Amino acid sequence: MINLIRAEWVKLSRRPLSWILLTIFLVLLVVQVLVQFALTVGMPVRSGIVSAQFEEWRRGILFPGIFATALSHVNGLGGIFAVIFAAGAIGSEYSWGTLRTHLARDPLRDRYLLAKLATIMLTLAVATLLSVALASLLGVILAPLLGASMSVAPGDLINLIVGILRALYVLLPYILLTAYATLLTRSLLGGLAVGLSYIIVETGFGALALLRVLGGVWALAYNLTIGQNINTLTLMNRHAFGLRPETTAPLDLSQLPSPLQATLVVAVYSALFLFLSLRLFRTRDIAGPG
Amino acid sequence: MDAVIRTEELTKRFGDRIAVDRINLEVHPGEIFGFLGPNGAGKTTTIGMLLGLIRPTSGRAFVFGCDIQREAAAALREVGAMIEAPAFYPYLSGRDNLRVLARAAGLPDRRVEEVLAQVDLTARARDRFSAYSQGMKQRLGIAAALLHEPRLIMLDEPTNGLDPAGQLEIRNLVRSLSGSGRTVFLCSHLLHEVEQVCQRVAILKQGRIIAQGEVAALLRRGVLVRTIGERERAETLLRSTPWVSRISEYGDAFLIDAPGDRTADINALLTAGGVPVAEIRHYETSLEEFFLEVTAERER
Repeated sequence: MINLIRAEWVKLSRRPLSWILLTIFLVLLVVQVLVQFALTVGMPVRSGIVSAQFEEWRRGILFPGIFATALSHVNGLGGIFAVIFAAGAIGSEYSWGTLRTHLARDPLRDRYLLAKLATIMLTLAVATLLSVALASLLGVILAPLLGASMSVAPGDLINLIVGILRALYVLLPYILLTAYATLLTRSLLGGLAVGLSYIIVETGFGALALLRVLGGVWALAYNLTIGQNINTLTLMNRHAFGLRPETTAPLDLSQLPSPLQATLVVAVYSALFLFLSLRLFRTRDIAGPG
Repeated sequence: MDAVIRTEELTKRFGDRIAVDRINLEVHPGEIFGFLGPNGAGKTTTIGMLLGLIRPTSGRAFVFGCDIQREAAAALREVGAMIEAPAFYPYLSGRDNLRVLARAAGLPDRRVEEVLAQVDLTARARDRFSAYSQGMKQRLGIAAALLHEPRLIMLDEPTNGLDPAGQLEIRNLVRSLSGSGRTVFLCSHLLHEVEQVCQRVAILKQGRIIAQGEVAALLRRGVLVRTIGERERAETLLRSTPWVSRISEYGDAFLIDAPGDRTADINALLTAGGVPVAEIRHYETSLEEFFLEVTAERER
């Protein structure tokens, strides 16, 4: 398994797509932080909800809130990048025909797929660490300009480790859904379409949120969607670093699932997609490229 | 002698279409076995099943005595394969592509350099795979197949897209692999290629094996005799000699299984027996002629 992960690491770390995605992802993080900085320093003093919003932005670019900004970037736009990355990592093996090259040498398909998924998560962990490091660097630069201190308590560092793990955990069901769709369609585009569509439906159009309005079973069903449970986990990351998005956004905390439910639901979805992926990959013919 | 590859009624259906139909193959240790057939005959599907990439609909396949469905890892431990076009990561160099495979198999980088040298790719090992010519891609595919020093090598159309010099190079490489004690399973639609390097062949057509055996035995060698009339008397005379083992009709002539140096004896025999001879010569079919003959028979 370790040998396979080492081999997968060479493939993914040398692939131009990985570096392109990472660069765009980090550039967007810098843009987000700089926009928040510009809004914070460039606008006159406000009151009420607007003031709270500006204060929230200010906290988000200072320590320790900058950690939350980085982690919410990972779970926000990062989710889209992660889906593209995962679909590319799995789907290209079909389009290049390299899957048969590997499996003709090592027919243990479960091991191969698990090594690939582990390496994808490892790469996302590295990207998350880089985004936290870059955000921290920006925080160090911007704090004096805003007249703020750069103090980070030991508790913040523990929260940061937990937060990074939580951010990766949040990405897991999307990665596994994308993996399943890519294996099902034997194509990068198929995986990409399903993975991104799910994210768009959940966040962009809010179509699933309509279920809650219907009440009863529908509300329960909505509370069991991936997105709703992930909202709880991402909010925990923000709260851990002193951010309070509910004070500036129409977010009803009482409607969110509990942290325990959120953790369990994400685990169940992840296990389901992993099981389906392994079962499909184990039994399917690997018949030529494409 | 234990067979390196053995199949029992191996069959694969894709929906209503039978790609491989109850084939029984046996490949012996150390031989170069040719697996012949036109494009679409089912060769690659068969290789896919032998490598565990495609699940048979029915029947069984054994590699080194291990059932490929139940003990795939043990069966393929000593198998190296190049299936269809060589498939590698286009953004990695030839060397890095092999390193990926070597790492996955827990092999040292030293082995990568050895196989690169073996297929004469060391000088271009740093170039990206996407920049390789077809011949270099084929050679890299063979290098990958050799990486873990397998005892059985399966090559699917290894000379595809190569110029004559490249084809000769690959044929020599295949011979040298066999010379070092390895078994080679060579899949090809190029009959002359198989004829030149293989000891035994199986011919596949529309998913079925229509001929299998030693190349020398499958190819007809003998004496072709065309007489002017008197066919019955000629046949009687020929059958009376101890060195004629078989006589068959070949158009308006006879094809006689007899040593080529008996041409003069046959001529003397027939002339003395009062049979006028119009043509007599040594005859040898090529694998191509044999292939066309057996495939035509199947179609009739």
